[in-house]
Amino acid sequence: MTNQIVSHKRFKALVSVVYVISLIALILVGIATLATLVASFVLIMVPVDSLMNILSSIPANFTFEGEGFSLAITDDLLSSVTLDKTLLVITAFVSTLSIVPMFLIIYFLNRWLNNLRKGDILVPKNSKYIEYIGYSFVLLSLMETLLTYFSSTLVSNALAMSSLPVEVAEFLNIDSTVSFNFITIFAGILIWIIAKTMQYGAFLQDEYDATV
Amino acid sequence: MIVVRLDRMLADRKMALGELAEKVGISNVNLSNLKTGKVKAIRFSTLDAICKALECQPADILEYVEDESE
Repeated sequence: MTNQIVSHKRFKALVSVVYVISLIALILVGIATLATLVASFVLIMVPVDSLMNILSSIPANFTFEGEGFSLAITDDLLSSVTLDKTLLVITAFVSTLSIVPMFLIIYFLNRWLNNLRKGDILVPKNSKYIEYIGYSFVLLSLMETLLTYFSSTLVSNALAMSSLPVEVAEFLNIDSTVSFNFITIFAGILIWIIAKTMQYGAFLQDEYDATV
Repeated sequence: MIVVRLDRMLADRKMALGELAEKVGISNVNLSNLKTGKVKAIRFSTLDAICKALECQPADILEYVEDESE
């Protein structure tokens, strides 16, 4: 009996600590989402010439080492890079959207931990939160794929129009093909299965609680 | 539908709900839920304890009533 009380207290303490950590993470990710959203809107309003001026004003004084070659990054090279503004804005908005699944995961995790702190362990709400976490993992994988595609297209387009030698540009050509992170998708499905198991557990708990 | 006639027996035996709860060994809340029909199931051990405390038969407490919705 004493061991049950100690482990129960330990469980509550651990849940409380993880709840606080998740709350801090939730606030930080929320701020990051807002910041990227604001930056995306600012990019629409800023002219592409101003963006190029900002890029050109970066002090370029480093060398990129590759297989069999070294590339000196100079002011001339940076000034020859041309950014596609439409693609840049789309990439910025997609990067904002890609943070949303992370925010949702942390939010539902925080709600679940809050219920655990109150002592509500096997309740239907908790299984719903875990189910939504599973869906968010799948959404995260899709958003990551989109972001990778748009950002790699942006970079390869910018490099293609720069003053880089053709061989170097081809070497640095980033693959813009679509590829899914199946591990994240699998994790999402697994979490969904666990949620359904907990849903049945909540049903059994309810049956037990309603038995005198 | 099973209807619990606990209030009738408590009145016959002139016993308070709290007193019965103490004798049976369950909480006032659970016994109140049983009396108002909010529970889904009752254990034989609980039924045994109630019948012993009230000196009655299970049929005195439980009654089957035809469900109008069925």
